[in-house]
Order: sequence, then structure tokens, then C-alpha cells
Amino acid sequence: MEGQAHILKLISKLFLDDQIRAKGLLVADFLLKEHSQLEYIVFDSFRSIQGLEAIPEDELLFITQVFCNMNPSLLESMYQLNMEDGSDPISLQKEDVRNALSSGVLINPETGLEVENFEDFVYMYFTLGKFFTQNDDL
Amino acid sequence: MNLRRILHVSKVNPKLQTLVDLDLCYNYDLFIHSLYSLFERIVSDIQDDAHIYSKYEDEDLITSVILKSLTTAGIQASHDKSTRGNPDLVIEVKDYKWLGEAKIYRKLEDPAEGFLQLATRYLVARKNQNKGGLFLYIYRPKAKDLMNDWSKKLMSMEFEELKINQEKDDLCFYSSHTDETSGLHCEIKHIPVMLNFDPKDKSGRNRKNK
Repeated sequence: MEGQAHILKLISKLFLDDQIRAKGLLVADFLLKEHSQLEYIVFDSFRSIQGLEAIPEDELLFITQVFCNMNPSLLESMYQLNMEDGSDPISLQKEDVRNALSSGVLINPETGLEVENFEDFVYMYFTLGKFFTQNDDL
Repeated sequence: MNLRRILHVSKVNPKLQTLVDLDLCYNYDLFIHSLYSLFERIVSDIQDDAHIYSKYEDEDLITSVILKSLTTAGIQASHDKSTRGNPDLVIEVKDYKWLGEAKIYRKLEDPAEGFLQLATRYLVARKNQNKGGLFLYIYRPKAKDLMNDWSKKLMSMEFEELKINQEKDDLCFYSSHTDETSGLHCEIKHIPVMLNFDPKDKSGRNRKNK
């Protein structure tokens, strides 16, 4: 399929390191095969891929961030506030996260209260990127 | 992975800082700001190696170093072919696009030619792609004077609503004009890369001649 061939060629160019490229292609292959089953993707989802069970955190973060930033993107990063107190997680906008990182203050959008040590309660996860959402032929 | 882990891992691996920062850019201006911070680091690294690059005066060599630095950082950068020609640098992050042209600054006509290529051929101002840059590789001394000369010449060129904005204590400057094709505002950053290496001390002269 032309779309897939194009994206795989693009990925091959995006990773200069052979080992990271091979791991990136495993992630891409997983997304291309399983996309219809994937609504939300967490970091551990990628560790279920054969060959990536022990992938170091920095490599996995690098690959996922490349996939979020490329055009067309394979992944879209999302953020949520999970207070781990039994309450439902709250979706955060990138603007909220960026502002919190620069100001050091995150306000809980539901309670209006400052979240202390917010870095511990804000989680990154993923949905499918534009390559999938804008490509009906897949 | 929570933010604390992401920040920790990014500290250990600086490439990740740039990527996470770019991913959190929720508008084009933030993307440009992050990109220009990255350019500052790349240009600074190249200038630190001026004693090597000054021997060659090779435009493609410096451009390929910039391209490789961007790709190593995980950014989609290429020497692209398009119907409007081949700009030296095309950077795409999500829906955001930035085009760059590079020239060795030997005489005033060089940056002028690069600017004309970029502003009248490659860059058509559109939403999320109305900014570009002109890298000027300067092997001559007194980059500040050369950049001043270039900004004066640029102001004499005929572009609609042409304006120049120079940041204090910075050799870079920005120009803006109305793009003839789209009629939209576009902005170009003029970025000197200082590659003059002419030490007067004995060991420095020896290093230059090696």
C-alpha cells in the first residue's frame, strides 16, 4: 500500500541509529497492523511487542516522540491528570501541561485547586496520529 | 509514563528535551521558538569547530552538518525537492513547516540571492508555514559589520511592507514582508554562522595550518 510504503521510508530516514531504527520499525509495524484495535496506547502497550520487551525508557520515549512530531504523525500524545485516589482521570490540554512546566503550577481543572507535585500525577499516553485518522484506505 | 519520569529521562538524554518541547508546541509560534532555540545550539556547536570548517569554505558541508544535527535530534529535516525548487532545508513538525536557504557570504550579492530564492521561489506564506530562515556562512572577520551591510541592502530591495527587526546584542535579525504569491505576511530569520578562524598566536597558527 502506497501510504504504508511512504511512511516506512520516512521512518527509515528519521532514525540515523541502526538499532533505534529497527525498534522504530517494530513500533510502526505494530501500529500499522493493530491500529483498528487501538483506541488508547500507553507506554506498556509497546513493551508487548516482540523484541521490545526490555526497550530502555529513553529509547521508547525517543521513538514515540519522533512518531508524534513527524508529518504525517503516527501518534498523537495526550495527557491526563490521574490523582490515583479513585477519582476519574481528567484530560489535560497540551497548553495546560506546557504552562504548568514553565510556571511550576498546575491547577486541577475540576476542583480549581493547585495540584502539588503535579509531575507525579500527569501521565502521557497516545492515540493514533494523522496518518491513521486521515487515511481511510488503511 | 508520568511527567516526572519524562523530565528525568529527558535530562539524561538532551535530544529528548527538544522532542518533548516540540511535541508540546500547540501553535506555530511556539514551534518556531523551539526550533530557533535548537538552531542556536547547532550554530554554536558549528562555530566551536570553526578551526576545522574554515579550511574548506564548503556550503554543502555546513548545511549537511545542520541537517544531520536536526535528524539526530529526531526532527524531520531534509534537503527537499519540490515543484518550486530545492530549498537547502525543509523542516516539518506535525503540520508546521519551515524552509531554509544557506549561502556563503563572500559579497553582498550572496545573501541577496539567497533571500530572493527563499522569498520569491520556495516560501509561499500559508497557515503554519509562513516563516523561514537564511543561514549565512561567514568566513570573513567582523560578522556584525557584514550583517549590518546586508540588512541595509535588504531594506533597499523592493518587497511589500518590508520591515527589519534586530534583537539587541544579537547578530541575527528578522525581516518580514508581504508574500507576493499569497498576500500573507511572512517572516525570515537571518542567521550568521561565524566560521572565521585566524589566530595570531603561534600555536593557533600551527593549528590553522594543520
